[in-house]
Amino acid sequence: MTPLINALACLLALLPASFLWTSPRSIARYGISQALILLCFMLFTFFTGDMEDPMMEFYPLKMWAFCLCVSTLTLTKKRTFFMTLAQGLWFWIVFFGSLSLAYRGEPVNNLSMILLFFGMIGVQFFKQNPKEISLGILIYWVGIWMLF
Amino acid sequence: MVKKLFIVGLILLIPGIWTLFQALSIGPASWALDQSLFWGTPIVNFVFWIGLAHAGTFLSAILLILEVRFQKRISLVAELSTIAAILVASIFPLIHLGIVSRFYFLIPFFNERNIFANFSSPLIWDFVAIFVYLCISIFYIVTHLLSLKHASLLKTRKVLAWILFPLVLWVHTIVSLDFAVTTNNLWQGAYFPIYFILGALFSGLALVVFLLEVQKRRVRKIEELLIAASWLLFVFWIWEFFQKGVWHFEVVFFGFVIVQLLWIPVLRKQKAFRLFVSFSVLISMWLERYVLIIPLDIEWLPVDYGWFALGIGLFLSVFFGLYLLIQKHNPLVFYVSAEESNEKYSRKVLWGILAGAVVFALLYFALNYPLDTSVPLMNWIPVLFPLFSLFAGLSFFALGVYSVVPKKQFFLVSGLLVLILGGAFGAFYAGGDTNLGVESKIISVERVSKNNRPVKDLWASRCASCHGLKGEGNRKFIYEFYPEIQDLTLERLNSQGEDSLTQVVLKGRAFMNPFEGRVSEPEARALIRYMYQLAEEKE
Ligand code: HEC
Repeated sequence: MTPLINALACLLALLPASFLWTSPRSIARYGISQALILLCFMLFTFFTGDMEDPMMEFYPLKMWAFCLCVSTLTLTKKRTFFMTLAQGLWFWIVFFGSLSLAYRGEPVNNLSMILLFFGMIGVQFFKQNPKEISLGILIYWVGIWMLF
Repeated sequence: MVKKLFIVGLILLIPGIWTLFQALSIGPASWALDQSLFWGTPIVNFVFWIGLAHAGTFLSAILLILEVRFQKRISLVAELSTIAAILVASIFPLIHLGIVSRFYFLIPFFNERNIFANFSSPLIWDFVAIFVYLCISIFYIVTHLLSLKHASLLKTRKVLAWILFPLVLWVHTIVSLDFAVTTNNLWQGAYFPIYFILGALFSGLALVVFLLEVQKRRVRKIEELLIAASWLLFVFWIWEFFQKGVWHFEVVFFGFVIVQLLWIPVLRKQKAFRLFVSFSVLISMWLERYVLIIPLDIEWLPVDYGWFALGIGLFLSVFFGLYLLIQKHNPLVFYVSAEESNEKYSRKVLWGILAGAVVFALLYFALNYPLDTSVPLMNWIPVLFPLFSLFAGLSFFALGVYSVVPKKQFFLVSGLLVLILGGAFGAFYAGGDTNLGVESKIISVERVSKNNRPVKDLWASRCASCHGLKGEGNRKFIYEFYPEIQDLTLERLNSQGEDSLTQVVLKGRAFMNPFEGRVSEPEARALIRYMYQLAEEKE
């Protein structure tokens, strides 16, 4: 995956994040919209990514988790809680995805996991979320996305 | 209805126990197996049942944390189904062990017995995770029942829910890693952890729909969740198609198409139809595991059919047996929930126990790690987290129970438990005699660990599983999992020389494992000479 496509993926993942939770829907409809977003990410990965690269196996899931993370910034209730959960999902995907790749002898990037882990702890300290901090957190996530 | 299902369960147990008996006495030959399959139907059923176990916790613990209101109406049924399903699931790996009575070798004790727990193996992770999961689930449901009388226990319940939340995801993730360690590329995929978790959830939801209907109840939100999960899973099936080009119409039909019929209000109103959908999902999820694990046509033996009787029979009898028992004590228990309580742990207690649990897990690591530094750090984490959970869960549980039951009773019961568990722990730790009495092929560990063991025994115990007793290569074992082993002719051995071959044994090469630490240098050399001898005999 070239840095350019990676950046495109980042933009694509940011797109749905802003309106994921805006209109109230039934659980089933939420599920469907999540599924369709994930499907878009999969199609994107399939057509732009190098499918021989094992990292691609969980790339769309990473996009999804990233998208969920960013979408928590739009929440008004229980934001810290869901921020932690969404980062937890991202961490989970990367950690266990890398672990199963490690079994095949692929190199593992520990740094992104450590950063995500600290992100999970970090957001606990920003219970009151002024705008600037939200922006800071967003940049932190985009940074993790772009660099790793 | 409950009684009837309990009796159905008991009746099914008759062929079920026959199946178990067959499987244990005959071994893997009793179920459909092919050289390339390795596991066969027991593992299909294992993944299926452990998946069902997760929904219980998901619907109870995770929804409790998320403060979803309908959680209260289903939690007890869900928790009970978890316990019954874990019990069923745990049977299958035990069958796979072959010698069931030696299951305790899976317990990652320290290195006293010279059999080091292989922390790189998900089998150990599986064992630890499932064991801890069962323990905490039991604590959780007991706390639930007690909290109906003592509202102060609600805080214990909440803490346990927090521990269960990651643990339940952990367990199924690790089940998915069982596949990742193989070299069969159909069983690999870095997306498996999430895929497996979703599958577990999906089938579990379907089970809860069924169990609620048995009680003549219906929770619409769960049907909604079922639809949501079916879509997510559908997308994962598409992804699997992109990755591997496999597409299973039957799985999609039962697991996705049928579920969408719930959108039609007329159908959805019918109890029979909702039951139909829930069974359809269960069938689909069973098939999904089947086509993944057994990707070819293979003729079934009676035992393969028998697993259904065993699984369903045990589940129904345990679930409804416990159900009847609990109901007898408190007839309304499945319909009421505890009062609200805003009590919280003091920070001191909360952090104290959590810190204790961290110390406990780290201590375990610190004491074990120097014994086997060859296992990368990452492979320890899967064990350390359940150990942390066990410590924390047990502490909170004991603290909670202590605060509500009479002191005398508490000390009596816990004293007894400590005695029994301590005794079992000691017995397992000491271990049994490892000599199985089969002279030719299996060598007792005591003899192997002495230095001057005869080279032939060493070969039989360490190398023959892959290379064959006579060096002919064990095709059955290497097929699919390792590339074809070189024919070890004299010519080939000579071309590499004794020194370099000794290094191959010690350091490993490609798919040949390194044996350093397990055989000494002189032993490796002796083994190589033995290989020469075998090659000569062959010519
Ligand atoms: C897990 C299966 C397995 C076990 C157990 C095993 N081997 Fe091997 N061995 C292999 C494989 C596969 C190869 C081929 C490796 C390669 O690709 O170079 C091999 C290669 C070798 C070779 C190199 C042969 C050559 O011609 O290149 C020697 C020597 C050898 N093994 C000795 C042993 C000895 C001695 C033991 C017991 C201590 C042992 N092996 C146990 C799988 C195994």
